[in-house]
Amino acid sequence: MIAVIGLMIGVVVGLVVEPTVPVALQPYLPIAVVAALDALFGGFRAMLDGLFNDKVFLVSFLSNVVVAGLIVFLGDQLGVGSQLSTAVVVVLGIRIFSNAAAIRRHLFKA
Amino acid sequence: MTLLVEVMERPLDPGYAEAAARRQAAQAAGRRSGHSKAGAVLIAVVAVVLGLLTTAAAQQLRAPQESVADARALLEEEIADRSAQAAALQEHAVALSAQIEELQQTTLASQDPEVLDELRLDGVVTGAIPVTGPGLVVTLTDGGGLSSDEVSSDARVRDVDIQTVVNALWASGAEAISVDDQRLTALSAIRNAGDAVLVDLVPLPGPTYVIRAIGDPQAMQAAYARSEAPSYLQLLGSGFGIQSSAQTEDDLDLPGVGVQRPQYARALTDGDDAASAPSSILEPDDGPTGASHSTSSSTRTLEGRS
Repeated sequence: MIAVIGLMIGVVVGLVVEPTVPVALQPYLPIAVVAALDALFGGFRAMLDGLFNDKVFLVSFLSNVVVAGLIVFLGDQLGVGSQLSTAVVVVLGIRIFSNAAAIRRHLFKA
Repeated sequence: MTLLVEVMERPLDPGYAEAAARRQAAQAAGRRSGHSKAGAVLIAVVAVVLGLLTTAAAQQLRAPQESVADARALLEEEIADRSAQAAALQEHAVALSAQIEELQQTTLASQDPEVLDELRLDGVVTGAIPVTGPGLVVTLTDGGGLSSDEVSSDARVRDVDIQTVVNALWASGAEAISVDDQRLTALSAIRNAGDAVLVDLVPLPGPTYVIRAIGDPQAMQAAYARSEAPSYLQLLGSGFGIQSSAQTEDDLDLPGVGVQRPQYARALTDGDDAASAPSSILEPDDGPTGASHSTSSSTRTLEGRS
């Protein structure tokens, strides 16, 4: 629960302070946000499954964002940045969808 | 394929299951599970930082769209402002020319009625004053129905179409022509700007364009029917769904454009040599407008349109 509360505090602080992101990091922001969404959905599903764990949640969150950004960075260096972004978005999108479906089954029993 | 199957069937991070199994094992062994105090603080700090970063990223992604929307709203406002300004100025010009006309009439009516008649006749011919009379009305409507959103640009009425009709009407003996509410003069231009048709730089709203011509209705209708315009319109109708109609009217009111002063052309004075007259009566006008029946800013062939 500490992780969730901390995350919420972070979101509120971010909304209030409105920090700016360095220009160099901006190409990776969309992917980072999608990766964060994936981790969020995974954490929510784990909570419904009764498996939630603060440490696992935060580590998966952090590593998702970093790895997604790294993949896109690598792709940019190799000249296949947009294709790799698509690949990351597809994989994360599928995961988000399946997790959302599991959450739906939990909540609505349907 | 195994990768995709893996992704599809096990979307949940396996770490959660492992952690749960570890916790159960610890409980079975009788140890107390949970975080140490330092671990809890670390988790909280990392969570706050992650939330902050994600929010910052999301906000950064949203920001440019807001500025684009702002710029768009600003431009829209400016366009509306300028349009209102232009309309007000136009109104002012019309009022002033009405005043001029009134003054001319009061002055000339007492002194020289003949000149007054001549002036009024000139005004009719040049399009300076509003006129009324019987005539012919030709209507063109964009293809694809009245919902102008998804009409392809090919199915829209274009400057060439209106020019063809206008030229045919002049050739059929029209004495005054207006397109929508724009009176055509010797200096009028009918042009395309993007998908919009402009007459004298005023965009026509569409999707229906009404071309009204004053003249002898019967003679004009007959001459118009013999011109090339009806077959051209038929081609537009069958090829692009542009609807058109032509019918006579007993009473048409066409607006005037006010007095237009030539900027370069000067009238010949009596003392000038008559031999040089043809070349110097009217010097070519290179201004923003050109004669409606000769200039065409965009040309198209019917084959190239499909």
